[in-house]
Amino acid sequence: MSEIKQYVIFSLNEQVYGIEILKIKEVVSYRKITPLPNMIGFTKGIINLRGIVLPVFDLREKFNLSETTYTPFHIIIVMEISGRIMGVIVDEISDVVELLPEEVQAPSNLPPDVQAEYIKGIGKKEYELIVLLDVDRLLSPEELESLDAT
Amino acid sequence: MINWIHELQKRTSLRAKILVATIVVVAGFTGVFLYQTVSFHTESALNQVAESSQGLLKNTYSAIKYPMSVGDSKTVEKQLKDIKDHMEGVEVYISDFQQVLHYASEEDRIHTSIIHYLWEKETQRALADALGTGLSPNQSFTEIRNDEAFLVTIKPLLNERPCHHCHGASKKVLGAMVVKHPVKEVYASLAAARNRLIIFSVVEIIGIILVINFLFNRLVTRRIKTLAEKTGQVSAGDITVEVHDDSQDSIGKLSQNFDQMIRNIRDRMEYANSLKLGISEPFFMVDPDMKLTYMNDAAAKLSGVRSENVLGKKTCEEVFKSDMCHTGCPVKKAMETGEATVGHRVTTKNAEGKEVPIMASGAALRDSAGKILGGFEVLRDISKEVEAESVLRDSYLKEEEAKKNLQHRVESLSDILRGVAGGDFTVKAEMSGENDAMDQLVQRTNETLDHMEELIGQTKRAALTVVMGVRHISEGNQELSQRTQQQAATVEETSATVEQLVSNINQNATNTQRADSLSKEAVAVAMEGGDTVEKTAQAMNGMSESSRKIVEMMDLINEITFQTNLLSINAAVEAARAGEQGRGFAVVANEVRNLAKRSSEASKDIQNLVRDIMDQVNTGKEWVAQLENGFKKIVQTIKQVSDALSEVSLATREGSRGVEQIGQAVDEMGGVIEHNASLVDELAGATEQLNEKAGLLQSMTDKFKLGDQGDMEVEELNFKKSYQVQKKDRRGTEPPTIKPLRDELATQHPIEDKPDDLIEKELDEGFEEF
Repeated sequence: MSEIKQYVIFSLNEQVYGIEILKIKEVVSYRKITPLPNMIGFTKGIINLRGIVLPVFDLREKFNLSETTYTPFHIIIVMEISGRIMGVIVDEISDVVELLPEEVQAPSNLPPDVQAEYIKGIGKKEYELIVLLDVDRLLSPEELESLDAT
Repeated sequence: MINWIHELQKRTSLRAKILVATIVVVAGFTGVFLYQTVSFHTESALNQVAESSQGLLKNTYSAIKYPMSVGDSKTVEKQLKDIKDHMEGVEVYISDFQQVLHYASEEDRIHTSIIHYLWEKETQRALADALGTGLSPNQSFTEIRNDEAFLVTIKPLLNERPCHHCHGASKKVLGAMVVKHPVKEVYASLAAARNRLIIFSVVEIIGIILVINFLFNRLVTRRIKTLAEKTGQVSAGDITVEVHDDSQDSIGKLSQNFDQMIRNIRDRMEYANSLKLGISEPFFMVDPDMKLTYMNDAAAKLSGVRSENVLGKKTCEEVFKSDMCHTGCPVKKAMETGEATVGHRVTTKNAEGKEVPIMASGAALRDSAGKILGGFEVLRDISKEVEAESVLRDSYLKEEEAKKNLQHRVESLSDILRGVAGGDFTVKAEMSGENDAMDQLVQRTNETLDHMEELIGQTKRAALTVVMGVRHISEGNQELSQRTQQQAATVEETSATVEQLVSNINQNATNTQRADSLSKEAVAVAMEGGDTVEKTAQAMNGMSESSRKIVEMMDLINEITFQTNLLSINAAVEAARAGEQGRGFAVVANEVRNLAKRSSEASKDIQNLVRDIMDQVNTGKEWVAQLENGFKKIVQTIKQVSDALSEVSLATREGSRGVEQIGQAVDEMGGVIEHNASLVDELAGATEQLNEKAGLLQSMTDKFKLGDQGDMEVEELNFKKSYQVQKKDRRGTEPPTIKPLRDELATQHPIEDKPDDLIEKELDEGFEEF
């Protein structure tokens, strides 16, 4: 972790999260999601992105946050999770930041009761704390299996 | 003489009179005409002769003038001889101034005096005058002797110049020439003409008279005679005559009128007859000798005779045999006095000797000159009335007796009442025991006397009470007078106060009116304000609208910013993926992102600002709305204030009037109180009189002697108590207004004699009621 890494910063329920930029394929605005039968809890449905059908899920549900009503200003981040291209719905996308290694704190220093498996670290930019997510760990293997089943 | 003519005129017939008159008139006119004609003829004939004499004279004179002037007597004589020869009967004489003839147509008369041949004195005198004066007489002279008649013309011969050589110039007249012209034939022809004229005239007169007389007889006299005959029949009593003359002249009219008159008379007579026959009561008529001339069936029935047996034969006395026939026969009396006698009661005897009472009324019958022609009497059988009368008389006698009995009893009762009138109540009337109306009267009288006795006793007591009461009234009256004066003073004060009040109210009214006009101005201003606020509200709405548009545009900007941001991030993602090659692109993307971020921030700021503005505009709108409402309320309130002020003004005016009326009422009250004061004064006088009368009453009641109830001494009654009792008796219940007064007085004068005050108060009340 010696080199500078770029993170795309987004917010979810007023909390700022960051995702490594190279994991992200594209950022699109919210559009109509076609629901599918027998979807697992957090998967919303599928979207058509320039001819490619992508599954979409809401990170709020994943993070057990309260549901919200979608607006055209919601964002779908198209990213690669464990080798699968997926859309993730977030509230807002704000910035692309570069973080120096010293600006990132390892998750081991976090309090033990915080779920830590998909948190890569905490970025400190100026006075703001950015929760850096490990995208590949964002979904459990069971969830990935159920996704694959669809 | 005149009487004789008058008598003759009366006796002769109309025809004779008219004949005489016609003869006189026609003969008179014809005679005058005849005379005039004859005298005219005579005169004209004589004038012709005279003219021919004058001509002869002038011719002769001119013929002999020259021979005479040269003294040629022979020629003159020849001339005259020729005249005699040629003109038969004409004599010419020439005399000297001594009337001696020198020349003459009758030669034997020369040298004789001419006087012998002039027969009339007048002619001789005319000759002498002509010789004296030398003037020709301006007429000729007629000389008639035996059956000879001459016309003598005289011409004086003047001493003219050719004569002077023989006769000298001293004499004026030398002589005269006289011509005697025979007029016997002229006269004879005149007489013949006259005689013819006379005969003709006489025949004419007789003809005219005959024609006039015939016409007059035919047109007038005969018709008048017929009329006279008819009128004679009418005057003799025959009114059945009729005259037929349908000509339209005055005699025709006279005849028609006469006919109409006769018809009218017949109608009148028929009317009188109908009246006579229409009388159903017994009725008869008599002539002045009291002989019956008419009698109707009822009278015949009454007397029991047949009318045809008695009419014109018997007098009424013989038929009716009345007891009044000699003493006071109504018809006789009416015929003597000329006035109708009405309702004489008479008893008659009919043919069977039965007496019948009748009521007889008589009247005279007279002609138009008022001469009594007879009389008539109307009788009415009154036997039934007489019977009823006797029944009435019997009952009258019975009544008279009862009346006397009653009078006796009334007199005895009257004696008792006289005693009562004198004040003695100790005697009572006695009853006869018949239990009739009189007994009841006596009983009632006794009861009445008892009641009166009781009443007088009460009156005596009451009189004393009245005296005392009057004294109290007098005292009360004085106090009333004082109070009335106080009242008057109070009312005056009230009046002044009311005037002040009136002026205050008027001031109020003025102020109110001013306030009213101010409030109206305020309404106008407020309404202007309201308009302004409305405009402001409109402006606010415009602002709001603009803001909304801005927000819409901001949404668009936000969209763009958002998309830009997404693009920049995508660019950054792509740049990162490109690695080192994408480094520069990443910078650009970063810049773009920064721009997007800044624009997003600016857009957020603007959005916030617009939101603020909109909030403020909304707030402003609310305020403006509130302001509008406020203004509306202000206008409404001011209008209400204005209305209220108008009402106040009206009310004030009414109040002013009311107070003025109060003022008038107070003034009237003052008048009333003044009047009350004078009434109180009068009352004082009246009370004084009442006091006098009460004293009189007391002394009068003392005169009465009372029987078993006794002249009890009038006890000194508790006045107040008795008065109260009387009050209650008089009014039934005490008026409710008294009670509070009594209480008030009770509280005001707790120590003083309350009942006394009470009485006064009640007296006052009583006076007011009085």
